[in-house]
Amino acid sequence: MLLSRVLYSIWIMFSLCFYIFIDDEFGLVLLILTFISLILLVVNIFMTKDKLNITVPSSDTIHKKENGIVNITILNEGYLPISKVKLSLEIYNRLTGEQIERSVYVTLNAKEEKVIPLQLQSNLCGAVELSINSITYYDFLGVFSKRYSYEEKGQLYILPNIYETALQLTEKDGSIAEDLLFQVNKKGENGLEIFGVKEYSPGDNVKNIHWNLTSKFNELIVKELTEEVTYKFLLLIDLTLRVDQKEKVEPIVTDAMIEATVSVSKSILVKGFSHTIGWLDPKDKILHLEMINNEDDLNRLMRKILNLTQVTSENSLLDYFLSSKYVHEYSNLVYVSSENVALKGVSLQSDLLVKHLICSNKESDKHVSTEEVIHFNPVDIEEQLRILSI
Amino acid sequence: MAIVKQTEEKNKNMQVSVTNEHVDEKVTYTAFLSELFIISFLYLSIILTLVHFLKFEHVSIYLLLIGVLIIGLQLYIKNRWHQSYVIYGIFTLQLISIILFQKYMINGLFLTFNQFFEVLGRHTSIFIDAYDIAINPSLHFIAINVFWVHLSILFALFITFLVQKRWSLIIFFIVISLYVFQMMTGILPNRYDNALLFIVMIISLHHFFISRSSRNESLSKSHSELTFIVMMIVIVMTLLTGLLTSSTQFIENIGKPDFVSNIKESVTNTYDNIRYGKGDIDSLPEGDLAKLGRLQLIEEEALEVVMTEPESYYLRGFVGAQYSGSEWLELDYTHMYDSYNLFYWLEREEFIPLQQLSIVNELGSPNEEYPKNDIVINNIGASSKYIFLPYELNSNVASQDEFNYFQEYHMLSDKFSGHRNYSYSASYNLVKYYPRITNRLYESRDDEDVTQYSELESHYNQFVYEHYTELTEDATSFFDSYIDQTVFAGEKRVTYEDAIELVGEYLEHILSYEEEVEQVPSNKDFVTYVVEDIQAGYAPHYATVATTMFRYLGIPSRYVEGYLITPEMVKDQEQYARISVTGEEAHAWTEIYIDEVGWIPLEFTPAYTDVMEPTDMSEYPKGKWSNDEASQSIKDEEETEEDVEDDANVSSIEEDEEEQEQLNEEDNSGDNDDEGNLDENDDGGSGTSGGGSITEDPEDEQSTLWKVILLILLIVILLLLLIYLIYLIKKRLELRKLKQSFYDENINNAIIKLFSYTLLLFQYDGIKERKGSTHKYVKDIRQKYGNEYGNEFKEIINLAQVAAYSDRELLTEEHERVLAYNKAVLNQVKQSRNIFQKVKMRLWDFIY
Repeated sequence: MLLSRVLYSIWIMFSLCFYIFIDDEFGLVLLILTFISLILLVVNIFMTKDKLNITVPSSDTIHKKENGIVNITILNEGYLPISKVKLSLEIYNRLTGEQIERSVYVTLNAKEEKVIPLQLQSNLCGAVELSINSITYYDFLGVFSKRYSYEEKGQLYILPNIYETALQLTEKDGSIAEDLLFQVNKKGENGLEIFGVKEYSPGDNVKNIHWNLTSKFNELIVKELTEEVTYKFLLLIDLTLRVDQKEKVEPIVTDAMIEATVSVSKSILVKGFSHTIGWLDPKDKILHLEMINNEDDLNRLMRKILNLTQVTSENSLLDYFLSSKYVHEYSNLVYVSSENVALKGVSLQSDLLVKHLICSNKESDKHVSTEEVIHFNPVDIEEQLRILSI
Repeated sequence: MAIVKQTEEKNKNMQVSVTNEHVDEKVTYTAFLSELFIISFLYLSIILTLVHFLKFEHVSIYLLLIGVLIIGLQLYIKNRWHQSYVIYGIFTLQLISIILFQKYMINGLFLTFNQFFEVLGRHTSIFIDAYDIAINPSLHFIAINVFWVHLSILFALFITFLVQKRWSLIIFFIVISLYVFQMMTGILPNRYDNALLFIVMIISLHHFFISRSSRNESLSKSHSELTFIVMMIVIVMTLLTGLLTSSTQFIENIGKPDFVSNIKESVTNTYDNIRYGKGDIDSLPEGDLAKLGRLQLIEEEALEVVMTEPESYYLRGFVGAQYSGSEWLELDYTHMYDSYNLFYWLEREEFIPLQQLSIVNELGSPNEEYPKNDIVINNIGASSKYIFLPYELNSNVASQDEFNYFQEYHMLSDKFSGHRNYSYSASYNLVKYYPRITNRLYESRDDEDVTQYSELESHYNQFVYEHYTELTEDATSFFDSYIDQTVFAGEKRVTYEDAIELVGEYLEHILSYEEEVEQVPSNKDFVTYVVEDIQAGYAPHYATVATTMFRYLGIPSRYVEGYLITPEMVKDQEQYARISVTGEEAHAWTEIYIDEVGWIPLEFTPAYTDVMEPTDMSEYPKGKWSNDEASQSIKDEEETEEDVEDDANVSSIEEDEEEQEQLNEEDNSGDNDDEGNLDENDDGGSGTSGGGSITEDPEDEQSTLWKVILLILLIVILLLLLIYLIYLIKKRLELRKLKQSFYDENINNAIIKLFSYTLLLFQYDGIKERKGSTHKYVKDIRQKYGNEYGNEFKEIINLAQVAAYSDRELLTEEHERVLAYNKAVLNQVKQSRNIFQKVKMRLWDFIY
């Protein structure tokens, strides 16, 4: 635009010289035309302002590294064409905190509607907010411009990659559970398998009467059912930033944490278990838990997860969990974080089996994984998850 | 289309761009028309302005419309694969046309140049010798138009190229250049052309603005339509402004305010001072009488003069030729241009007006040695624009190529910063002896050299009376009321003695000498205001009133500013003594033209009447300067006016004709040294067209009609070729599309197309068209090409019917079978034809 202004200034200077040095009536006509043009340019801007109607699609979903198209619809409702208008766009990934700004220039005829297919590609997952912050109108020659604030937002969800994991469930003593669904070596009341049979004695639940055997033995035989052992998994994703933490978590690490959480969740579902995913609510700073019973639940929850943001907090999410009422409700805890959080408090909970997945992109942070703590890198996340046992 | 500007460093994890994949960029009919209109408007505006600039009356506007056709063609083929072929085709056609019409092209080019030189010469001091034109004047019209048609085609291609490449800034600078050219030369096209240029300027700026950020994209429909609307708005705005300003006489009423004029004057003065460095050494106005206020003559050295024998001289600097009412101006460039030939030939005959007094002095005794005074001038503080020359100049000034010597009344430097050092020789003071010189001239009228001189002088005399007796209407009506008409005694011109006496007496009574007088308002006639209101003044006032009065009395006169080397300054000076001329010697005076003798300075300013040596009246030509002589002079003038070309000029140059013919034979290439002949004034209106021009043989003239017919025929052929070229491209494109359909992804469709094409080939080869079932063809094909072809065709028909009417998707093998049969048929058809039939088949019938 600067060049256009310089060129028109040159023209004004020139027309002035023409008027002064040429003894011809057209010199004055030229000067008048030049200044009338300037007035027209100003009028042009004021006549075209507020005539734009811009629509950004509210939400859409794409996968990582896929080209997603966001069709911004822009309509000129005025009767004058708009030679150029600049849309100042801000593209912000809420999850990773990445932000870029772009300017889109559009030319519109009178009453014309135009669709600007904005192609967006992201290597990281998250909820990408696409907002138009301001519109700058230009006149026909680019001499004058006027900027107006504008608020229009749309969102694009970049889905995380979900990796297959050969998930192995471990007992408290560290042994691998033989039957992945139930433990049957213990008599109980509410199990679904028959542990044994016995003669009826008062107090036995009449519902447990084994009618087939009763008819054979002419005595009331009741079924002894197994004790039902339920795995209650909790996946905690810790996006909190310590107050004293100097650096923000790298976007690629956040991305890997989400992928790890979602992949584990999916694997648990595949094993047939319901489970819970928890995080720190960014607004209220309380532990937020969501039950996942099936893949639909996971898909529904995905948008909430992708909308998470990093929250500065004095305590880690684990601290929030330990101090919550839910601490005794779960048998297994998968804690996903970007830093090594002390698990001392957790060890006091004798029934809780904890796996801590720590994601780090720094070479210096490479640690040997133990039974409790598994270090993984965003680069080899797929490999690490494949051999994961919780 | 939208474009994205990335304002931050490229983000590795997120990338945003605007994709064109999903945008329909089809150029609509409206967009095509808009673009055609825009480019045609730009093209026509600029080329018409050029035509009007050059004042070409013979260029046909209709022929320039061929450029619009070319633009249309270019836009039609835009972004198509064959675009470059069409452009090459146009260039090839142009090349062929240029070769065919090379004679007209070259002469058309030269005529264009000559026209440009003439326009330039009429508006500036730039005189460029014209090119020889080697065709008959009756063919000039054809040559110019042939050249301009080719030029317009090239220019149309150029403008379209600029717009399509988004290089519209070049168009902006073309417009600016045209305006700058107007400012520098004063050559103005008409007002409408300038208005068109303004619209072109706005459009180019607009186009540059909207396409700058998207220069890698093609001009989308939205841009051209938008530009079209902007163009309409600007056109309406320009029209309304023009109508309003003219209908309300706004421009006339406002005029140019004083402050604007002052700015112009101030800038011009500063510019002149930078160039010529006059400074404030004197307050003489170089003819601008409105500047006259208090006289300031500073005792600082203006000139340093060294002479062989120190002698008193009037040194002429600025000479005012035309009186406008408020200033003395140089002679109009148009007048100078029209007189170019006159002065060229006068100089060749060694009649140089600036040396006239010396020439006259030496007449009658060619063998006598006349003493010469070598003069060296070192200009220290005076304006270096002027070469200060005495009336007695006897030689050309050193390194004269740098001076504009066709201005016969004063000599200007052509160097940017002027001339400060020069030398020349002059006769000893002749001004004081001019009556004696005149007397001697009259006494030796019968001498051969005097006769020859008189003939030459008669031409110059005519020029002098034509240009140096003009007065403004205000001044004429003023003198009508102030001067007793009886002084004319029934003649057009008062005698010199009476006039000099009358002017002297008049000034003595009317004006009083004062060095501080009020300035004359620029809107008042200077003479009227000085005489009626101020009634006082100093040298420029006296000189102006005297000069105008002499003009009124019928005597050619001019206003002069310069320096005086007074007798007092040279008194007792030794040879080669350094004479310092200061600002105090700056002066303004009147010079009158005495028939046959030349320009003589006259002094009427009271403070200067005794400064220079008095005129020696002892040998005053009694009776010779009477009205008889004056009348004779005027009669001569009238005779010359009646028959300029046929009489005087011819007679004066008769001797040159033989020489000229020899030169023409020697130098057919048109060396411009020999250009210019007074007889050539009627040749095409070009004042500078040369004597070296070559005319056509009579036989050529007889064949002119045939040439015109041939030209028209060739133009028609070219147009037909162009139309055919468009037709060819269209048909070849259709054929290409058809061939592409043979390989359609949908095999069924491809087979249907192949079958139709095969049937077309059979029909083209003479198989009679049959209605109803296609199986009817089988018999004919068997008869013509044999059973093998017929049987295979039967199979092909079946396949085509399956493709057309069945849901079954045909196999690739089946497609290849139909394709092979089609190729076989095509080869069969081609082989049955000779080379010409094949060319017709390909380029006229578009079969393959």
